[in-house]
Amino acid sequence: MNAVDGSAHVFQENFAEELEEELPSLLVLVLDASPLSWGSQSPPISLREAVASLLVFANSHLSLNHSNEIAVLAAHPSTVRFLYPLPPSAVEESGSSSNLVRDDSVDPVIAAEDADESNIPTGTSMYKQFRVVNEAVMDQLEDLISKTTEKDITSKDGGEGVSDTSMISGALSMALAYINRQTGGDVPTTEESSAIKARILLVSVCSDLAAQYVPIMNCIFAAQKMKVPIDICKIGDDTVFLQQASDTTGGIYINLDHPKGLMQYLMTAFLPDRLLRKHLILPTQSSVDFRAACFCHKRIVDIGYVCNICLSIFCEPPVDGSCSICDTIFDPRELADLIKQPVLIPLSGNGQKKKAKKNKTKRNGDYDSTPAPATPSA
Amino acid sequence: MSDSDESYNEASSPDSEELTGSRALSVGVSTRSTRKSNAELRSTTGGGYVWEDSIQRPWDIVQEDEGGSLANAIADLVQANKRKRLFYEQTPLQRGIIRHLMLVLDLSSAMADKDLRPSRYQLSLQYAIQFINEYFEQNPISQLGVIGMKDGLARLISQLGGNPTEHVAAIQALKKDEPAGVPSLQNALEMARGALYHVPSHGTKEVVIIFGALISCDPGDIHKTVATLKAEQIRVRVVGLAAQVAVCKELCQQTNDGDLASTYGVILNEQHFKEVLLNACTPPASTLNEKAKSKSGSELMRMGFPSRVVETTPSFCACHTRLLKGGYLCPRCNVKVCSLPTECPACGLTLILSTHLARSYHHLMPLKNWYEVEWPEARSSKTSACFSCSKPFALPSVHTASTKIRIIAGSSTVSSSTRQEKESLATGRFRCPTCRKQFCIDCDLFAHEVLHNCPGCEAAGPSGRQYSTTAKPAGEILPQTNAGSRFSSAPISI
Ligand SMILES: [Zn+2]
Ligand SMILES: [Zn+2]
Ligand SMILES: [Zn+2]
Ligand SMILES: [Zn+2]
Ligand SMILES: [Zn+2]
Ligand SMILES: [Zn+2]
Repeated sequence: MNAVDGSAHVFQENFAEELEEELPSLLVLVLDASPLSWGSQSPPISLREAVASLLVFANSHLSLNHSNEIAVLAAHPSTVRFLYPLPPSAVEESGSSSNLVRDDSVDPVIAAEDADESNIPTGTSMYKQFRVVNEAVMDQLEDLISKTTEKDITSKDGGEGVSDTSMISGALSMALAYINRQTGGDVPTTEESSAIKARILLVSVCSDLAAQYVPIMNCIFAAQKMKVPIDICKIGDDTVFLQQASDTTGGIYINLDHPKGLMQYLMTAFLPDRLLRKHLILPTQSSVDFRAACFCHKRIVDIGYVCNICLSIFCEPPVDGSCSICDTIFDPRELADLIKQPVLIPLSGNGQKKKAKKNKTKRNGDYDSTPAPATPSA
Repeated sequence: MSDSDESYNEASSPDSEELTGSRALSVGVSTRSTRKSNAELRSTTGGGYVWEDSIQRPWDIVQEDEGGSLANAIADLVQANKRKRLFYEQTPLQRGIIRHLMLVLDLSSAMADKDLRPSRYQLSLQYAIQFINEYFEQNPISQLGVIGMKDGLARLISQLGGNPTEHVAAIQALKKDEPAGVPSLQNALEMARGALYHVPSHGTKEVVIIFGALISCDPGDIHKTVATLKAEQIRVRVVGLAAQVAVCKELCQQTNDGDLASTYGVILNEQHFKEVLLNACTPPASTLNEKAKSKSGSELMRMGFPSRVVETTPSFCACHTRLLKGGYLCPRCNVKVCSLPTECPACGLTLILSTHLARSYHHLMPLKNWYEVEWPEARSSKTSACFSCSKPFALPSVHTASTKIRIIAGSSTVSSSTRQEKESLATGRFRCPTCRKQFCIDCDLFAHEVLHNCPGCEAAGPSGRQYSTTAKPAGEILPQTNAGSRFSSAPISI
């Protein structure tokens, strides 16, 4: 069927082998729809611009292969929602209205997007599948954003302040569950065995995910098991756990230097599927931040204290001497060793030290006046 | 479609009947008698040997429906199987996360048999390599060693250590050898005991034996060894390639607090061999003794989570003085090391990938079981599709019209009419008790077996999790962050 598709011919010459293996792919787009983060982007790219680029990207994905599929999820601070395909309940609610829209009266938002972002003509000449996706995504997103209340974005733990953290872990969980349904639930045993290849692209804007550490890690391992790469398109500051997500699952992580050029990043780096990526040199991360979040304060730490029974991470030895996760009581002597601070010998005391060690350090006397030898840095 | 299915089944069934017949004949003598079905294997827990149970034929379980088609029956069988798996251990089991395991390979002449392809010997070496890789994947901070049984002796093939490549290389080297002589379980167990003797108290001590022979040629009384193993809390698992052997049965039973079903597996075929062996990769639940012991020996370990760097110019790693362009930097002293886990050569800090630790967290915080929604509730609820995958739920009218479920899978033959009634009325909706979202059966399985998250709870955000927070008064030790409250609201029983 795909042989009819013109795009396949281009590859036929160079990638004859791949063509045989070329399978439809399912792309799950996860859009971080945190209203505050989008509002505060310093090199501004508005949510509207970003969504327009994403829709063009989604359409390109659909046009690459006749049986390619797409799903779009929005992660919001208070909920996660399927933007496309619509869950049956949402269809019932908004179905009648969107059907009307599709007929003739083009939604002004979509019309505007299409007009200024791409030259795809609006109206009847547009490929139907594109319209269906675009309209569903726009409708649902409008609905989601307009229904956001102050309560959704206020910080829940303290009461004061605002929280801009979207439920990324929930969105990833749902994306994986959806992929599980679409791929029939069997974990592919080899690289090429699953019927449809799935991947996840997460467009992330908020940076603080420490509270979701464990669920996100669970998602990462599930994705790794299912051989689903998680690509991260990061706008704004780096997020530790998302770097780990793409690194562990074999996805691409790009922190956009120029968020305005989102479209180009999407089309050049994220559009090629797994088979094609083997032949490309992609601009992915080279170094990965492997820090973890402590269980006690959700701080991100690079040196932590680990309970040897349950492997929970703490940023400081617990005050009461027991693990707050598994209630193990630690050996008090060992604990005292950990709490002990190193004693600093003041530099001015060098002279006295020299005297004391006189006979020992006689030969090395010259070096002794220098400060403590620097650790051999790599 | 259904026609062709049917004809296939008809054609194949007499064939397989013959097969089982011949198996039944060779019962006492041969080894094949044990390779029947999973269900029978499970029934070994009853105490008798597998071949003492009555024979269950797969075609007795499946029945045709009115139209004479098996398609429905098969679909229902699949559903029933899914249902059977729906109940998970949800008390947060304390599991031995730091493990020490000796893998014992049978290299005796019994392994030359070709009943497994290409031969028992080659296949078990191949699976042993897979086992080692999977073991270190799931237990990154654990240790493993390999022992071989050959010519009545036990040979140390690779030392207890944390580097999978060394073990794999040692096993690869064995592939050129030929199996020979008789195995000695006692020698191998004693050697394993010696290797595990110095293991720190907070780690588990385990032995996994791949045993192809039906005999063991021992220098002394193996029952004494078994008793010592039990006293030293070394747990033994056996994967039998032939038939059940009494001494293995006793060995597993004695060293695992009487739990035989999950520790002694006799394989049915190649695929089953792999499953049984790889089951041993999951960290075992701690026994009572171990819990008591670990209480005293527990400590807090200071660990560093280094970040990976890539440099433009190569520099030496501190551990092997190799010239490399990348590596991991110790967070305390910035020394570069080339692989993890390791100890910083400069400051002695234990360096580990945080992802290694995170892999075991789902054992610690198991997902709650979801309960099935009854029809009255399902009818009144507005949700018509699974929350996480948006698969539409079956409507009441459709479902009651469908044919009754006749298949009750495997050994759990509950054929009472009430049970059938219940099954046919199943809504296929499952509800998470925390977020009260509804899910389909596939998502239930997926969430509990693969994901270990509830998509509903994660998606609901902090407001959705709120009431688990309110259950506990504002904490003094733990600040009331959301995830923190989730951990603390489910105290772990030890
Ligand atoms: Zn902390
Ligand atoms: Zn603990
Ligand atoms: Zn090195
Ligand atoms: Zn160091
Ligand atoms: Zn579902
Ligand atoms: Zn839930």
